[in-house]
Amino acid sequence: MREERQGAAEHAWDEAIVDLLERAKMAQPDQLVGEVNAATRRLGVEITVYLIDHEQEQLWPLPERGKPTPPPLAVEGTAAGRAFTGIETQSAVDQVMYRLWVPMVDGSERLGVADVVAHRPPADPEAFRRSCETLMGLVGHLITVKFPYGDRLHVVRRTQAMSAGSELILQMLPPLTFSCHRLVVSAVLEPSYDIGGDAYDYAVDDQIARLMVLDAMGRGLSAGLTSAAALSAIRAARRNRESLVDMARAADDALIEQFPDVRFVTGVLAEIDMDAGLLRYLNAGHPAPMLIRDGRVAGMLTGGRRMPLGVRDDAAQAEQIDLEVGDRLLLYTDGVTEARSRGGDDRFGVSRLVDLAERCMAAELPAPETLRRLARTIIAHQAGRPVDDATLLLVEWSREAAERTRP
Amino acid sequence: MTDELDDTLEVDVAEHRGFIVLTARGTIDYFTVPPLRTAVEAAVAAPQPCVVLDLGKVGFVDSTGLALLVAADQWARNRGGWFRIADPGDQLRRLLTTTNLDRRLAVHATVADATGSGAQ
Repeated sequence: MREERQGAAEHAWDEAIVDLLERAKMAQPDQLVGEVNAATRRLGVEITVYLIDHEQEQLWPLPERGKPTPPPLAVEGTAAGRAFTGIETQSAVDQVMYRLWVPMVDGSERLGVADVVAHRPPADPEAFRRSCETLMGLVGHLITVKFPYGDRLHVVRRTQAMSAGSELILQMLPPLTFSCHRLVVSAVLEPSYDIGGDAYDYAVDDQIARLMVLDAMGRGLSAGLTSAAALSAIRAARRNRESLVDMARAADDALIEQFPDVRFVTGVLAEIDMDAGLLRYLNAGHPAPMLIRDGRVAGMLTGGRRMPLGVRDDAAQAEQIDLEVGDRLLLYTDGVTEARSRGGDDRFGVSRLVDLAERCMAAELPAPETLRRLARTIIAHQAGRPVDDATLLLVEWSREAAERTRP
Repeated sequence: MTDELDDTLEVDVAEHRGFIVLTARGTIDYFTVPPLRTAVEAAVAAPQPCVVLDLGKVGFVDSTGLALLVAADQWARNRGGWFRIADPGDQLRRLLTTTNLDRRLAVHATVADATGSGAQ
């Protein structure tokens, strides 16, 4: 009897998912969450989808026709926030309500959470939780697919207007987090509503993970255009299978050809060969990447130096070092280390970053959460001062780290 | 890169026999840089320009300021002359080291060093 009921319940979930896929085809971005509820009504659940804002401080509900929109929820100190930060479903069950807070990711990119309220307690809570997680994984994919077709999803994630420079850069970047079986790459970029010239990129193919962090001189849209030229030139060279040195040369050429004045971009270009256990990198006038081994900062990678991109340097050679499974690599822009406290000359500095990175790594958090906390600490250090671009990119080369980013 | 919002920049120009000394006071950043750009462009406009920029009274230089220094160096070289920096502060020295531009730009401890016969 029980098995039969369970089989019927699973069948209902399958039907709901097929129905949702059909409904999603013609849905406008603002209609998607309504279609989710229409498709899952047969399951006796009501779903509210929350998206994380760019500063990763609050979760904002997607408005739905004919339903009152609940207030936003803080990431700190709420069950919803714990589901988001830990990428782990939280249950909030009492006499009146059976409720789950389910993390919503696109692969491993944290998009927000779903508030799933069941009208009746499920017969098999464990199976119910798994079904909710599967469903929200799908909704996460669908929301990501719908993002480019309207403005609503973009607007819900914003707590303030975005500058033209930010629109340009954000359109260009890959998602903050990518995990595969062997590794996780995650980034954070502040202040996201007014990005100057900071950018990052990554690509994982076969056994190679390619990464970069860029920081263009200047401010605002002008810095964004400089950064866009460099990033696009490097990407084109990378997809043309050129070496790190040649990717940097492609950026030199683009910057020199496109701009009549002197424009330069500092940056680190790196590639990790996971089969060979090798890291190759080139540092174009940028702060040295940090190697973290066994939870300790093992050193700054000071090799592979050349001039900033945009200032030709024919002597440039990539540096190569051995890497071990479990190693972490932290790339950052000088907005991190040069961040100064209010009313003083107290730079955040490399040693503070080392200390903070070690403490965060010890907590074994999901990589995007480690970075969110690092960024929050740096912003708190600046308290009220004009915020300079600060970008961090973390690579964790281990199966365990990749698993931590999975709901 | 880093910058300050509420600072100003003053630039003095002194023509000596055979070289020009530009003396900057304040902060060189995205907002304050225009008078320095004007002064540098004028100074390197002559054939074989010899220009020293005295940064002893400059507390902060951002990436826009640094780009002007690179451009000045390039303009001066293109015209068969030189552009030298004197007395940079700790922050600029750090920036020059990080960006590797200390390999490109001529940096001297004092204006006298920069204009002395052994300089370059």
